Amino acid sequence: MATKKKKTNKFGITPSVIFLNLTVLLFLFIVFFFAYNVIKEDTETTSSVPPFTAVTEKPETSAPESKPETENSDTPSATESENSDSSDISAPESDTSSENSEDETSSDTDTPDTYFDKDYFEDALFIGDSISTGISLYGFLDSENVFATQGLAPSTVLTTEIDGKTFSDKIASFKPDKIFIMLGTNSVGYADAEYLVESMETLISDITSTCKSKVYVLSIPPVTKDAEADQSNYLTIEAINEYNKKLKEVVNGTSAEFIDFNAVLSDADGYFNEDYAEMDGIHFMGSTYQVMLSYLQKQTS
Amino acid sequence: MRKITKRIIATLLAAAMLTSLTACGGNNTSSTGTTNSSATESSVNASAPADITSKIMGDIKFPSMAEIKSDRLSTYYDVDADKIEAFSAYICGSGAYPDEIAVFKMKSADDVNAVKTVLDKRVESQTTTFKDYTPDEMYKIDGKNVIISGNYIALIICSDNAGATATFNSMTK
Repeated sequence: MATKKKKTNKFGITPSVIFLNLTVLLFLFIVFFFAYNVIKEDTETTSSVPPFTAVTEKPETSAPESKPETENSDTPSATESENSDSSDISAPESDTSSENSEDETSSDTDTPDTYFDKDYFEDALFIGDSISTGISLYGFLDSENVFATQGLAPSTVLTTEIDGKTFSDKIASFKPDKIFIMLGTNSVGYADAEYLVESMETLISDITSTCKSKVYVLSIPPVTKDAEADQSNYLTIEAINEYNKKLKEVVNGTSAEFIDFNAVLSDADGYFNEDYAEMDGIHFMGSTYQVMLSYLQKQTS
Repeated sequence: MRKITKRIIATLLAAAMLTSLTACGGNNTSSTGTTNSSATESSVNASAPADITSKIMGDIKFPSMAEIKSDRLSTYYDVDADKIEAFSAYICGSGAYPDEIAVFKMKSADDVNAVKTVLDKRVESQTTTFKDYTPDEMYKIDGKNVIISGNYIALIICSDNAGATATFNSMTK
């Protein structure tokens, strides 16, 4: 009677149990590895707090810093903003995890300020083109606070209906306390800058004659080097800077106030800081609106 | 003694297995936009809308997208919230592109047609907005943007509608 005796070590554990142990340990390692990666990816790419999710990859740019072409004398280079924001705009995406969180009010960090008080803009109206639509698309402000649509230009704003309302209708019904205008990007590439600023002057005059709102006119944003190279949009930094320069002159002759937001978004060469730019190099990323609202609140409070 | 040792090992292994499974299971409840393929593959059948949008946005290139949560749902989709079991929606936040993805899981298949009317109107609206603004992007609005699968209905406007539709169909069966 030869009873088959299983091999055991001094602890009485058979090789099959050891093998099973190793298999399970390997399985656990794989499971934890994937779980760790899932959690890590979660925290890196999204956040439940801000109302946007940047799914986009950054535009692929090769050597964006190589073209030193800022002959503009007026707008770029972040010299006009009085606080540290202008020189601290190198990493906007890194500070976007919490909208309106009080702890973001510190001014001495390496990142731009993204804190703003939504209530401050409760009676504000933003007038603009597709870029301004993002203010409400991202949910930073309500759609009530925005009179903007794709393709809107200084010369068409007074006659265009948005959601069944003209500009005058909107002013009359909303009764804004503050009006922020950022218009011109759709026309600056091919229209005469003089004509555009005249249209803006007409717009300002129309507003100030019909309501007592404080009017702020923002310089239009720069474009990235890649966007400038794309001939189809007709946008160049030179044309943008020329328009902004004339716009500032015109606005300064009115009761409106000029705000140089272009400087906040520009890199050292005067181009749109890639970190702020959507894929097309013209529109804004979600965090850019936070920077914008924060900056505007500071400039106008 | 040997039996006791084996029982201890078995118990420890069972506990470890349970722990690891719990860790995996708890991860797919709140994440919107980042559940990766390993998570979604384990829940192929009747996936949550958030998993579907996440999978599609992970597989296909989108511009920067803004999530539409329940507080803003009515601004973009006039759907009776009481009839929705779950939904997940994202629109292009920058205003530069017509890209949009919205997946609704309705409580009843009867409610799907009402949502279809809403989503068809949304497609019309996007067409009006973008046809002159970015004609090059209009290929994304190809007439096949609203898809139904059982209790699920989706609006998909992206650079690969066919691929997104295939994912939607596979995850709702």
